[in-house]
Amino acid sequence: MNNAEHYSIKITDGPLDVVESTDFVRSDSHGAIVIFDGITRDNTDNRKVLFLEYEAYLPMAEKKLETVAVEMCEKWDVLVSIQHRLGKVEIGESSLIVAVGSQHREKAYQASQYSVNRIKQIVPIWKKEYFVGGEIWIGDADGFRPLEKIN
Amino acid sequence: MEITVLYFASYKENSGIDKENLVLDSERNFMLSDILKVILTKHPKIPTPQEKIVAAVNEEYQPHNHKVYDGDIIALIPPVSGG
Repeated sequence: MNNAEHYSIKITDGPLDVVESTDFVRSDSHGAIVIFDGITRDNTDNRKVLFLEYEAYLPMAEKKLETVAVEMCEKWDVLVSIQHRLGKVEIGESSLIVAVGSQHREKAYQASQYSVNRIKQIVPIWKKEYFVGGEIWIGDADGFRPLEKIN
Repeated sequence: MEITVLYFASYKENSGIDKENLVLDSERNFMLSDILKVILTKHPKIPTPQEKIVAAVNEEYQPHNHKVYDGDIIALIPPVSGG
């Protein structure tokens, strides 16, 4: 399979376009599309969240998003479109969209779940949460992340 | 030899910079761990112990025994939180 035709990756400062991702993974031979839409919510651990700000190590983040998409294509034989937003993201706006198209729904659900976990593991993107009374970088600062799980 | 070090997110705030060049004694062979030691000594506000630092060399994650060469770009990667 030529993977390059089976996925698309986008990292952008502007609003994400869910229709663009859905259209990319649509196929007449497929019966399912699963969309993950990651949205800025107004609360975390009793903090009132004002907005989020995302930062990336851009060339590497694109490479690693591509790695995630290729892994999904190889494991589940699906079509994949991933969009990640950078900069300020207001409450209710999308920061991540993953669309997965597959012949049957099981593979699409599995690949979708995998994608978000994997992105949070290997893609060098960081979010800072601005809340009433302060700001904090999200991420487990004490978490030991063995290299074999990252590569 | 000269290498470039990149700082992101919390590490950028800890160090106060997003990028710097380090000039090192070319006679020696350097491993990533040697560079990390220099960096953490220079930027004591970075709270992560050396053994827990995750770093990329030329945009690929590398173990701390990875050899570093002239012109390499080393990025310190704080715990990621995309999504």
